[in-house]
This record gives sequence, structure tokens and C-alpha cells, in this order.
Amino acid sequence: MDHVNAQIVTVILAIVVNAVVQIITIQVFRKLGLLRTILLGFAAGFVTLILRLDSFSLTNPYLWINLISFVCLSYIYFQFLNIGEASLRIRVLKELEKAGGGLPKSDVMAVYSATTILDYRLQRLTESAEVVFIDGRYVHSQAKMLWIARIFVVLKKFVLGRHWKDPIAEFKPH
Amino acid sequence: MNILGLGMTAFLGSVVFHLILWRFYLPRRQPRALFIIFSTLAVSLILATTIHPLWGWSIHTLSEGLYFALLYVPLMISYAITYTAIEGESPSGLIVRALEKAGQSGLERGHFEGLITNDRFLAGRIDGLLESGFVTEESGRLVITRRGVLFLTLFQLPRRGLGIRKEGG
Repeated sequence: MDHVNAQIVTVILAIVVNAVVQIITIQVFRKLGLLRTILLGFAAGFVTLILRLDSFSLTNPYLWINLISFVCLSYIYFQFLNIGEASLRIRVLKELEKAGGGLPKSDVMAVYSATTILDYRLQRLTESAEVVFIDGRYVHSQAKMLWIARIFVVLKKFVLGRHWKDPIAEFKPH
Repeated sequence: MNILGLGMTAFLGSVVFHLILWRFYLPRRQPRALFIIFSTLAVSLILATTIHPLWGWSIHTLSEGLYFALLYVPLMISYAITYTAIEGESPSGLIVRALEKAGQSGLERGHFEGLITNDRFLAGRIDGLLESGFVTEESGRLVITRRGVLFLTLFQLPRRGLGIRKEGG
């Protein structure tokens, strides 16, 4: 087989192994949860990719192409599985599909309002111990989500520049 | 080196070009604009290097073209996915940043109501769905289009197949 074709097969094989291992582990070990099975799938695909490499030299361009390609495809796969859980757009589409003949805009807002979003997110953040609820008040607890939010603030400033207004800048807590 | 050089030049060139362009003009449909920029730059670079190889870079065979696509398309899609998170606000992100600002005294639920609003989180998303053609407005009602149903099915299939029932928002 041509060398370039062999590289294409390697990347495709690695991403297939990633998906198959993820699917099998989530079916067999339900308690593991989605994120852990995604990580297991990624690890299996990564090992497949490494085992099929003919050179580990950092100057080998195929090593970099295969790695970048595999990591990006794994990221897309993760987002593909995760979008149904986190995307507001998907939730709105689901509500409209359920309604059949459509809904007035005000009804969409009522069925799936900012209040619902707030309750759901506060519940999720409390369950993951990012936030604690003490005496009727929410208090920040862990830094993981905060660091992600901070990274996105830096990215927003860099990418969107003056077009982005930080809602927290105008937020008065007390 | 051919394909890695071409792919990374086209990718980084597209990122730099859109960052400069965004300083002056922010397109209304940003993901679509990104797709046009990334595709145009890649195709132009491939055509240009076919006519005049740049540092010896060019794509000679169908296999090399496929390998280039296997590098470039996932890079482009990954960037676009990450960009949608940069473009929109995350409710969880705003909540934790508001709590950080509030300090140890924390916040009551009511404090978030001015922050997590329909205007900020739903109106923009609904406009986006209308602009993308996933939803249409008929006599004051929002109706999901065939394209919208296809999009929804595509994203729900893997979760249904894996038996994941948890929903969010």
C-alpha cells in the first residue's frame, strides 16, 4: 500500500477504535458515565495510532498530521455526543418538533425560559460541587468551571474585541 | 512535509485573516463566514501551489488530496465548534463568574435573574435558528423546517443509539 494511503487508514482505524471502544464501554459499564467512556475510547484510539506509527521522530510529518487529525476527530465525536445535553438550540428544536404545528415565540420562551435554564444550571453546578448552597445563598466552591470561564473571557476579548461586552462588568452582586 | 505545511499554512492563515477582519467587521452569521474563509483559503492555496509550488509544497495525487482533507476538515470543524462557544455566552460560565465577583457572601437565586435572561440566552439562539433555516416563522408561530428536523435527528441519533437519555439546556 502507498505510504500516504497507509496513513489515511491509520487515522480512520484509530477513530473507529475510539468510537467502538466508547460504544462498548458505555453499553457494558453504564455506571462509568459518558465522559469516562469517551476518555477510554480516546485512549484506545490513541494507542492504535501510536502502534501503527513507523517512526517516533518529532521531525516525522506523518506523526503530526495523524495526531492533529485524530485529536480533532475525537473532539468532534465528543461534541457530537455532548451537544444534545448542553445545547440550547437543540432544546428549542426539540420543543418545536414536539409541538408539531409550531409554537408562538412567547410559548417557546415559556416552555423553555431563562428561569428553566437558571434552575437547571444551578442544579448541575451544585451536583458537581462547583457551587455550594448554604443558608439560601449560592457560594462558589471549586475552581474548575471558573477557570474554563476565565479562559473563554480571554478568548472572547482576543477574538471578538470591542464587539463583546462582558455581562459581568455591569453585574452588581449586592 | 507537503501536506502538513499546506494544511497548517491554510489553517493559521484563515485564523489570522478572520481575526484581522473581525477587528473591523463582525459578520452577522459568523460560523458561515468562517466556513467561507477557511474553504476559500485552502482551495486557493492548493490551486496556487499546483501552478507554482511554494517551498516545494503541492498536492500531486488523489491520496495526498484525501490526506490533506483528513487534516484540514477536522481542524476547520473543531475550530468552528470552539468558536460557537466563544461567540455565545454560557449560562454556567456567567453564574460562576458572578459568584466569584460576589465573594464569600455568595448570591441568592434572585440575583441571577438579571443575568440569565431570555434576551441573552434564548432570543439570540432563536434568531440563529431562523437565519440558519432550521426554523421558520409562519403567522407568528415558530415552525421547525425539514432541515431543522434533519439537523435534530443527526444530533440525537448517537445519543439515542447509546441509550443516553439525560437532557440539558
